[in-house]
Amino acid sequence: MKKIVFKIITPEKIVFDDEVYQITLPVREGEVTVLPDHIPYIAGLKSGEVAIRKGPKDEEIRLSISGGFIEFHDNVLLLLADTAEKAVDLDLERAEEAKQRAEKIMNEASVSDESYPTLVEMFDKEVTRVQLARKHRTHHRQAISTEDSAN
Amino acid sequence: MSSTKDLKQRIKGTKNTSKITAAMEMISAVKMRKAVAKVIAIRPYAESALQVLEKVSQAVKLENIAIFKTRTVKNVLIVVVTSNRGLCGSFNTQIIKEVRSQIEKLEAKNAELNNIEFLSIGKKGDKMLRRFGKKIVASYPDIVSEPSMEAISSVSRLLRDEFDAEKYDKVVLVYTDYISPMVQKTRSRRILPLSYGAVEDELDEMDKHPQPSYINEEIKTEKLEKVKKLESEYTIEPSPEQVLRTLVPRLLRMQLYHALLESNASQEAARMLAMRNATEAAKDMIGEFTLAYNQLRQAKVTQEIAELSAGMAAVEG
Repeated sequence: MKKIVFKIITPEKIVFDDEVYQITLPVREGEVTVLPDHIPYIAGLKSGEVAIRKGPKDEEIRLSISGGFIEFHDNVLLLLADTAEKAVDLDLERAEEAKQRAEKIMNEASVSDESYPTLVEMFDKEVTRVQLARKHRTHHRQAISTEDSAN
Repeated sequence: MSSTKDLKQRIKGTKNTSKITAAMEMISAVKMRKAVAKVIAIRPYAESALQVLEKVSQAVKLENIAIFKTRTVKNVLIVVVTSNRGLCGSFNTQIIKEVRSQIEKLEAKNAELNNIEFLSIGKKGDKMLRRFGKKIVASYPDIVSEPSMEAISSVSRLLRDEFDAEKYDKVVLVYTDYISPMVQKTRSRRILPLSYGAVEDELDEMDKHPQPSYINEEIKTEKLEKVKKLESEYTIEPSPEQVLRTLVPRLLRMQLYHALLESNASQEAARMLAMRNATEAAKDMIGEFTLAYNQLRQAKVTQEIAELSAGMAAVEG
């Protein structure tokens, strides 16, 4: 089976580097899913969630990314993100706190403020992180409860 | 003549100082290594970003995009990266020297040059520029201690906005490039208007750092791929211009971030060396003081014996 070499690269480090089957990306105008042998492709990304499947039937791996772009050719997909975090690494409470902080700062700031776009960017990022952390948590709970019923 | 008590105190004081300088040297060594590791970590990102720029530049003519266009240089902004703290040898004065030679160059090359203004990153440079009566339009001391792409975004936005508004026709970045713990070099680089070549130069600069083996492999494979890739046509969504709009701020941020990391590594290296010299100087001083102290003590003992024997002689006589 053909696979895609997928790398998520941030200025700080390489967050993800593995062979995968399918990747769903938050592009500017919605979502795009990339499968092996996709045509060469470059796109801008918005803050959001990246979902990866290592095989057609494998469980999804989710990551939250904030802004960036992708480049795909010959089954190599490079994702250049400003930041990227795996769902497993996300702590819901911490993410929630950061979101509230961002919200507060944003409410206080006036729209004419020079740093407003930066704040919006920051807020978007935190919201995505919270969403992802929540999703991951419910997934995890479900997994546990099915295990329980099996016993 | 200083008394033995005074000397004793001075020895003690110098010893304490040397302990502090030795500790500072070690701290700087750790910080330097961290900064260098960060410079190495940014490389894959820089390389991929450059690749994307290359692809996109096949679809749009970069010369037609404002941020890549060179204009007649009338107003220049110089971004000066220095440290927040001192005790790092000639690190900051070197940068100011470079700034001055840069000003001379600009004046010689551009007949229509009207004004040069400054943006300072780091307190020390800020102070020195002010002392020379230079006009500082903005000052960012905080991002030196904790450089991150996010912290830099406000600087890069300011640069882009002012460049777009044609307030400046050229933006030059002056910083210290870390070559090895013993060698650092001041550098000036044009960051706006952007150019493909400048980003490429930057990659070469990153190459001089010892690379972990996995990155070397990557470079090799990527070079092979390059030949193949040029033939294939890319679908660029939503549009090449739109992607450029996402890419350009990141390229600029990346350049600033990289300069800052290099500067921080250099700063710590310079401090490390300065502190090592200080520790050694303290050692020499302690040696001298101890010698003087011993001589003084010896003289005192000799004198006492002489007095004693003189007294004895007088009594016996």
